[in-house]
Amino acid sequence: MKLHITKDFLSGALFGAIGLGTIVLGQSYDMGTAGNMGPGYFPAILGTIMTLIGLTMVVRSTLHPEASESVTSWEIRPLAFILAAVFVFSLLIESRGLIVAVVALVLISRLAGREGSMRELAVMVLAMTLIAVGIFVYGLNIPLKLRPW
Amino acid sequence: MELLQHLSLGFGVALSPMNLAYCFAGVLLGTFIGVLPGVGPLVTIAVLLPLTFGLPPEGAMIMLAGIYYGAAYGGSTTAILVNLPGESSSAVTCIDGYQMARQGRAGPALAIAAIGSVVAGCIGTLLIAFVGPPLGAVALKFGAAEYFSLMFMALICSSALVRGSLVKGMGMAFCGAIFGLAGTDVNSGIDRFTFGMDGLAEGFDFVVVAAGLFAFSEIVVNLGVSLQRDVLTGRVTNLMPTREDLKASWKPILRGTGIGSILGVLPGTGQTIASFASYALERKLSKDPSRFGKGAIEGVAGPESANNAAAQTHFIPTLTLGIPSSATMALLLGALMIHGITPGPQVMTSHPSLFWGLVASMWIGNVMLVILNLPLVGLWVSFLKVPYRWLYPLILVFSCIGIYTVNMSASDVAFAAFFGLLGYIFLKLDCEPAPFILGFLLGPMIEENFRRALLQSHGNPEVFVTSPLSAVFLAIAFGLMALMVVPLVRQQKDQAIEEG
Repeated sequence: MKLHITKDFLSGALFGAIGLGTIVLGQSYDMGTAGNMGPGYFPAILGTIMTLIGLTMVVRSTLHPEASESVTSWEIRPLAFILAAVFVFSLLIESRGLIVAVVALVLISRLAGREGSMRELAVMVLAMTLIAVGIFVYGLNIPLKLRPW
Repeated sequence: MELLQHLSLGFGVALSPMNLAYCFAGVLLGTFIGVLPGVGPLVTIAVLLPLTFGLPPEGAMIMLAGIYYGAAYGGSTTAILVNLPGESSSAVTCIDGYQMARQGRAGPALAIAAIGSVVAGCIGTLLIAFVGPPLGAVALKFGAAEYFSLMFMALICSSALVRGSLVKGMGMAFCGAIFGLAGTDVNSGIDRFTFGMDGLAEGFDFVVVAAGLFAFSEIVVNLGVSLQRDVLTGRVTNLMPTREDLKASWKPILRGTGIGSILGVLPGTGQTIASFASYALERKLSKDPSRFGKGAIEGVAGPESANNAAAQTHFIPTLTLGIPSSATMALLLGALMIHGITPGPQVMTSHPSLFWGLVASMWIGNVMLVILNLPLVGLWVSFLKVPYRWLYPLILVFSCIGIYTVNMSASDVAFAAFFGLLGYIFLKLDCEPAPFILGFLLGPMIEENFRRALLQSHGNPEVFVTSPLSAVFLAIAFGLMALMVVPLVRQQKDQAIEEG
């Protein structure tokens, strides 16, 4: 029998993994009793239900693969660059300040799409930096570090 | 007349020059983002939340609410003129609204959508004023068991009413609840699921989850597809609907308002469901159902009214019970908490100027919306020509700075990137994020009430059925689960949701 990797199958696998992970990680917390629950009691319930839901979906989608479609394409390029842009922002905002972080955010996120000229990009970077500094630092008086020094 | 006293207090608050300005700013911004595809009210509120920290709580709530119902309204403009729903709740308006626009009747379609929205908005708000106080009084008597069962019911409702199977929806709800576990356990003081990270001691912030799940993942998907837009601007000539249009529309408007109001009150059900239900009803009641899909004005009037009525009555469980009826409502509750106000039935009595000021502002805001929208429709449509490559960096910049400023925490921004990845996977697997976000929010509250209820009953689970109210909530939840197993009901639901 050929295994059909449908959306429902993958969702089930993901849910099952999260459920099992919750059970395993929750092992270290005290269970307590129903009348006096410890921090591990509720996570154990959630993890168990989650694992069962995942299992149900995996079994059901294996038996009825026609009920769900497969994922046709993944937007790897936008995904990688958008997430990288946000992550780099988080690394820069405290050490290098707002201006560097925003410039990096706009430049990296630009790589996610393919359109637009270099001149437009320069205008975007300038505009975004001015908006960010103008609104958050001067408009709202949020004490953000501006420059790297 | 207590109600009149309350309302006069409310209008006193809402009509102050500053609050009028906040209300105007809110509906203006709401319409703007409602028109822009790919930028929803949830993302906007998540991103702009930090901007409202400095405002007084009344002003902040009035503005955020304005963004919310303004967006519900603005979404219809793009649905009619571009066949592109600005919001998912406007998807059904596309069907007949766009057809009307192609027949040169864009004006009447927009006008009917506006009239329907205002009528529904005003009636919905009236319901909040009437239903809120008695419901709040009942809710004050709720114990831990009742709260547990009510929130469990809300989770099941939202799981059952999304696209796809109930099991999948429940998976998302429980998944959200699991992510809500992270952080310090309030009862024992033990850190759970923090992986030793200091940034997680307080758990994931809601703004982090919402921005990642909705803003970042949607940008990725939007960049993958090219948005083709065929704008029918040139055809908005005569706004006035004819006498026949009005005659055909007033009943659908009232029926849509009714459906929307009821569905909006149920926690966990959405505006989208309300608009689809109204469309299905109008087609069923019509003498000539074949007209639907070819520019039937009833197909615009009913769903638009239902959508807006639900948007308003969502505030009922949110404000009176402290239970968010949708992800956007959850954000508004988060905003309340940031201002030091604990959501729940006591808000009405302890902060009457906030509650009634908000209610009064909604009437004012709904009137502002008509004035803003109809004459300026050309202006709004011109925003559609803004290329997405200018928009998404702006969303990113506001999101990242917004997330950072909530707790001045750089790790929050990194967590948001993680939720962006998770949200993207969910989108690709057709997993609806709405139950996830509700589970994330309600999870900790469910755990707290579950533990307290069983502590009080010394571990006896009968406590959840011996209280009549709790038993009713649980019966509804399990009844709904059983109903979804019936193939016929499931088919009908799928059909109703897929028709858009």
